[in-house]
Amino acid sequence: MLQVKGLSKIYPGRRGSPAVTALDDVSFTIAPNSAFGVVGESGSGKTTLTRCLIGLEKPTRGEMLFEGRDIARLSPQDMREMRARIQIVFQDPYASLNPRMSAQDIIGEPLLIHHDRLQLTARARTDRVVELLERVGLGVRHLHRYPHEFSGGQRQRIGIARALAVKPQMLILDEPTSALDVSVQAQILNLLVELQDSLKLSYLFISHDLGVVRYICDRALLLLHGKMIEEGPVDQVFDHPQSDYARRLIAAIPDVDPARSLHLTA
Amino acid sequence: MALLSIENLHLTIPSFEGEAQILNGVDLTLERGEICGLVGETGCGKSLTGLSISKLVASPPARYRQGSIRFDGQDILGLSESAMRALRGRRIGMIFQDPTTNLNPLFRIGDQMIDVALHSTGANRWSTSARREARARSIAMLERVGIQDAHNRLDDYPHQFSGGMRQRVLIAMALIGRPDLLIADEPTTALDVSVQAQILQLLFDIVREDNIAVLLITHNLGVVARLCTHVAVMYAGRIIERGTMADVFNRPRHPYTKALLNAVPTQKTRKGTLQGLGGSVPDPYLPHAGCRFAPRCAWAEARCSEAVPPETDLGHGHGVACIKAGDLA
Ligand SMILES: Nc1ncnc2c1ncn2[C@@H]1O[C@H](COP(=O)(O)OP(=O)(O)OP(=O)(O)O)[C@@H](O)[C@H]1O
Ligand SMILES: Nc1ncnc2c1ncn2[C@@H]1O[C@H](COP(=O)(O)OP(=O)(O)O)[C@@H](O)[C@H]1O
Ligand code: SF4
Ligand SMILES: [Mg+2]
Ligand SMILES: [Mg+2]
Repeated sequence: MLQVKGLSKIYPGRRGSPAVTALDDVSFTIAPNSAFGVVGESGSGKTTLTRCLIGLEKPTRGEMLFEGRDIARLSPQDMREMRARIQIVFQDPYASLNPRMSAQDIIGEPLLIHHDRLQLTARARTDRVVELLERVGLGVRHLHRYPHEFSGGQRQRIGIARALAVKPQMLILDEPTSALDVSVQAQILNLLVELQDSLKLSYLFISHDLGVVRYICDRALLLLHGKMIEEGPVDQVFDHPQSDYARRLIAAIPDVDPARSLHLTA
Repeated sequence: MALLSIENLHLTIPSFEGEAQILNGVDLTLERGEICGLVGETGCGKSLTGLSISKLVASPPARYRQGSIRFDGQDILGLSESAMRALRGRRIGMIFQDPTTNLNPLFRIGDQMIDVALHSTGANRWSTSARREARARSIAMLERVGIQDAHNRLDDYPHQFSGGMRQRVLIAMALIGRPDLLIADEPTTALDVSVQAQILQLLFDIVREDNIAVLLITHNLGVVARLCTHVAVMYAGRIIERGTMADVFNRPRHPYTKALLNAVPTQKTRKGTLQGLGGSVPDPYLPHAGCRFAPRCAWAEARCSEAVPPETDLGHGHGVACIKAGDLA
């Protein structure tokens, strides 16, 4: 489905500061209908990777083949079509929703943008929006509410519903559940598993919650300063990490087991 | 007497949709040296509980219809705004989720920090010696929270600090008045795991060294398991289970607590087997009777909807507000 080969991205330094190597020779493959996790501290290059994949950033070197075609070499027309097939869910529920649009308008917007392909009537669009609201744990009573009337968690559910609206083939999820409650997170994770199954979706799943990555993903990539530290099946990456860095990162994961309490270990 | 004790707190907020019942009888106590995790789904009233303790909920329009908040013997709800200002930043430190209380991007870190330091002692902000003293305390506190080379970084602006460093600055600001109680609303939510682990260790060390009390508001149960001594689980504006971390996490008795804990993927959870919690939190605008968890509860019976379940003490302060508290092992 997606093949990334030797991808590097160097941001030229501004005003005398040195250039930043945000990605350094990164390669991986996401098989059809599989979930691929990308893990790393902030600044490790995760967002740069997604920006390259959706065409917002030109890579300095390397290739990104989506179904055999290099994303960096698409015509503007083909890029538009590609954007419907790869949808992205953003991390920040405060910044990513337009405060002047109702939930109905926000979730329905991609249906309008891709109207040529979808051809939904206004009535069908509303039905689809209601269905999406229900899938993410909201309901028809939220249709006409505005972002400020929702809590942080509810706003994130709307962002997820919006990304699912045009039934994409691949979802890029940038920290999609970090602002969500565990209950909603569980619903969303189960929803993602179910959708992946029924719609044969692929995921590129960015998270610093390694428990979540382990749960959702088949393979994972660990980034440090733009370099690949580990890449492989999740069990191998998490249970038998090769590097000290990976071992330290894995030990820092909070987990609900009180036996790992600071009070007990101090 | 407990440092903080909230009893039967009821809060309503009017809106054009009607009167929202935000808090419906919150009971919570906190002693020095305790770190209490306040957990629950979004919208259940955690932040408003934290804001109420610092009397930061505008009232009116909001109304406290019943109950009390006592901090070190003082009745918070009866205090004047000027008395409250003397408590905030001095005896009660706060790190809030609301981004407006975060760092102002237009001002230098040092100036923001020194303002808070001056307020914490009530010193005259135009006095050069007071400013010099506040600057020294700011540097010492920034170093304590792990900002290296602090005296050179005071002139930096917030964007020159990483997310983890900004969070350390906010913690330093909350602690500079040497408060007895720290209220921290989602202090590590935006941070990655390694920075989060450092911040949790920092909070842990400060509680041990200064013997303060912390109310840690978070939806991350892993963070609670790692840091807290006690847990209070909130649902629809009430604490439905509370006790020591070991009691609540190892021996949860309320169906809601059990469901929350089951919703977190662990090492052993196989794909597709995570037990989500169906439904959503009740709308605070809708009228209700009895146990508010009943529509989502697998153990619900008709009598659950008759009256609000009182809290049962299962021993050692393990309180559970469920009529079947004793039966559900
Ligand atoms: N100013 C307000 N006016 C009216 N309703 C409000 C106001 N602030 C909060 N609410 C409502 O009060 C309830 C509790 O909100 P609160 O922010 O305390 O929840 P929370 O548990 O902190 O959620 P989150 O984790 O999303 O911050 C929600 O139903 C919310 O919509
Ligand atoms: N537009 C840019 N100009 C210069 N450097 C950048 C730019 N965007 C990102 N970087 C740098 O690239 C690195 C990786 O950034 P990013 O991909 O945003 O990290 P992450 O998303 O993992 O937090 C960081 O060192 C960051 O400072
Ligand atoms: S009181 Fe009844 S409905 Fe409420 S949690 Fe207990 S068993 Fe469930
Ligand atoms: Mg990022
Ligand atoms: Mg909150």
